[in-house]
Amino acid sequence: MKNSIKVERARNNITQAKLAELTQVSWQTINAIELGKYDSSALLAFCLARIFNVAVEEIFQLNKGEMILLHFYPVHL
Amino acid sequence: MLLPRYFRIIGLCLVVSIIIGFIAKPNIVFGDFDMPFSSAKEGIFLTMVPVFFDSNYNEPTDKQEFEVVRMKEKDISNELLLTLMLVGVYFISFSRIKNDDEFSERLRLEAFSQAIIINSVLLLLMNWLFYDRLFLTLIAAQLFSFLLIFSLVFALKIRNQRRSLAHEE
Repeated sequence: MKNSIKVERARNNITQAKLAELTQVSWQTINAIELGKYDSSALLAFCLARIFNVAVEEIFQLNKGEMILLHFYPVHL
Repeated sequence: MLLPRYFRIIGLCLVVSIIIGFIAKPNIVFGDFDMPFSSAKEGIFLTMVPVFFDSNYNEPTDKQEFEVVRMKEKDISNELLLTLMLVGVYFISFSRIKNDDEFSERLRLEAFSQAIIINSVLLLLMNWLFYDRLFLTLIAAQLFSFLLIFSLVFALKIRNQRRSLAHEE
């Protein structure tokens, strides 16, 4: 999963440490998410979106492989 | 579900002191080990305990009796030490770290699954490489080895992760 946390941080002028403090996780977690080493939980994703005042989809986007996989899931019930 | 951080220090103290004890007295597991202040005949740890599936083979008698459970006088000093060792290892493995969050939880889960694989491989190797008394001694060590490997792998993962991630101020 790709994300634009770094861009949002730069836009809002927030450091990793400050963002970690706001989301109540360690700066290592924020760093790992930014570097794509770790996919955050849904709760943390919503929390980040709320802090940056944007939709979750604007911060987190599926990569190509995940987009292909998504096509195998039913569109409607 | 995890224990507070200070339990790790208590666990480390317990495990380190007992490992020193194991090195000093290797017969602690299988031998008739007694603590310095207890003797096999009249020590403070000599007490009646329920013994399950006892075949009476240690007693000098021709009559070999098998009972499902019987009360027997035993020195429980080595059992106490093994219990303390297990408790110590549990404390180390299942206590919080500094800044415990969802990322460290995932690292913990990864370390757990890797420890299962490492421990299974070790067990398999032990089965083919060691025999007799040494094999039994190593099997006894397997009581703690899984949790010790888990703690070690987890500590290494945390250390590597902290090193690899660049801290941006």
